[in-house]
Amino acid sequence: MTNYNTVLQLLYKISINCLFFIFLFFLINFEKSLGYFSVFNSGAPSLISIAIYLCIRKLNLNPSNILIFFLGILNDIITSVNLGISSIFFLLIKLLTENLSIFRLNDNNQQAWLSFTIVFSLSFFIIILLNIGINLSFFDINPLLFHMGITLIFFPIINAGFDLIFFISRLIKTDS
Amino acid sequence: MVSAKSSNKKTYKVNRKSNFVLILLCLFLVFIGKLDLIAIRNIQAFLFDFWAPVTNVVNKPMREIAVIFEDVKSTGSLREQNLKLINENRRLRALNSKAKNQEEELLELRELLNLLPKFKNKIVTGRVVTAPGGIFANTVLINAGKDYGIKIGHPAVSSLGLIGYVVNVGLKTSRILLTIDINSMIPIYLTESNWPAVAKGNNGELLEIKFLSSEASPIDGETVETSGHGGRLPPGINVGKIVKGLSGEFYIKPSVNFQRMTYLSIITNGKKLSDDYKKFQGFAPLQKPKPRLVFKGLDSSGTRQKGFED
Repeated sequence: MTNYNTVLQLLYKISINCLFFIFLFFLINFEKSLGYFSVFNSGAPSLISIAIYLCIRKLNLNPSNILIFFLGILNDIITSVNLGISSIFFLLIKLLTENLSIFRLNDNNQQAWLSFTIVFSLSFFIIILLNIGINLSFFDINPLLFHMGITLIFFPIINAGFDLIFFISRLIKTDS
Repeated sequence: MVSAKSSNKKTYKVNRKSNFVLILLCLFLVFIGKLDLIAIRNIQAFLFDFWAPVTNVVNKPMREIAVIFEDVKSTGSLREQNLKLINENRRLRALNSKAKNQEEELLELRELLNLLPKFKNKIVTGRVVTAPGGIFANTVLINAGKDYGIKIGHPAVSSLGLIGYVVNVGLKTSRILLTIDINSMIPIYLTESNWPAVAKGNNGELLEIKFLSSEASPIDGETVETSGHGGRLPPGINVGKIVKGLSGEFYIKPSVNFQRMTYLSIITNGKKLSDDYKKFQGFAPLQKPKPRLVFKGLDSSGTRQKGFED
C-alpha cells in the first residue's frame, strides 16, 4: 500500500513538473514574441523571472533546479544566446529569492516589490558582467536599462493580478 | 521537483548545493559554447530545426496582434503619409529620368575601363520565424536552411539593405546575426568621403564605426555601403547612414527596420568565384601605406624589395 502511495506521489510530482515546464516554455515564447510590438523594441520584460519569483513567494511552489536549468537552456536556444547564460540567470533568481524568503523580508506588496528589485537587479548585474567578460566589449546601456525598468514596472501589475485572483477565489469559497 | 516549500533546513541546504553545482555547470557550458566547437554548433542547429515549428506556431498569434496594432496606428497618420508619398513620387520621377541618363553613361565607362562584370547573385528568400531583438543577442531565425544551399557567412538582405549574415545553418532553418548585434562586424566604406572602416554593433539602435582613419572626416547623412574587403560580403550593399551623436562621435543608423521584418533574402552566391574576382580587393580601395623601408630589403607592407631577392 505504501509503495502504491509513493508511486502515486511520484507521478503527481512528475505531472506537476511537466505542467510547470510547459507553462514556462509558453511564457518564454510569449516573452520573445513581445518583441514584435514596437513598444518593446529595446527589450521585453523578463516574465520568467517574475514567474519564478512569484511561484516561490506567493504560490509556495519550489521549482526544481534541474527544471530551471533546462528551461534556461531552452531559452538560450530560442534566443540564440551563449548556452548556459539564461540558466545562470534563472538559477540566481531562484537562489536569491529563497535566501530572501529565509530572512522574511517581504510581507506586503511594497516590500515584495523591493525584494524583487534587489533579486532581479543583482542577478541581472551578474549576467551583464558575465556577458561583458564573454564578449570582451561593452553593451549599449539603454536596452539593458529599459529591460530592467519594464520588468520592475510589470512586477507589481502581475503581483496585483495574482492578489485579485486569490481574492476572487476566496470570495467564491466563502459563498459556497 | 515542484513541491510544497518545507521549512526543513536540510532540504534547503541540499537545494542550495545543487543550485551552486548547476551554476558551475552552466559556466562550463558558456565556456564550451564560446569555443565555437563544430559539434556544439551542429547540436544547436538541430535544436533550432526541432523547435522552429513550435516557436512559429506559438509566436503567430502575437505576431498577428502586433500587425493589427501597427495597422491601427498607421491609419491615424494616413493623410500625412499620403502627402509624403505624393512628394516622394514627384522627386523619384525626376530622379528616374536622371538615373536613366547616368546608367547609359556608366555602362559606356565600364566598357571603356574594361571593368570586371558584377555577378548575378543567387538569392533565397525565407520567412522570419522568431521575433528580432533581445538584450544580449540580436538574431532571427528563418525557415530556409542547408536544403536551399545556405551556408555560414552568407549575407542576409532586404529591399532596404543589409540585415546581417548567417551564423548557423540547420537542415530547414538558418540563424541570422543582425548587424546591430555586439558580435557583428562588417567591412564598410563611406560613399561620399570614400574611407573604409568597420561597422560594429553594440546591441543598441546604432552601429559604431571602428578602424576609421584619423584623417577621415565623415559627413553627416552620407550613405554607408559594404566594401567587400575580406571577401565575405559582396560590395555595394546599403548598410545605413552616418549620424552624429551628441558627443560629436559618428555612428551608423541602419537603413533596415529590424522590428518589421517578415521576409528576408540570403545571397547564396551560386557561381564559383573567378580568379579575376578573387584578386578584386573590394569596392573602395584601402588606403595603402606610403612605401618606406622598415627593415633592410622590406617595405612597410612586409614585401621584399627588388634587388634584395634571393
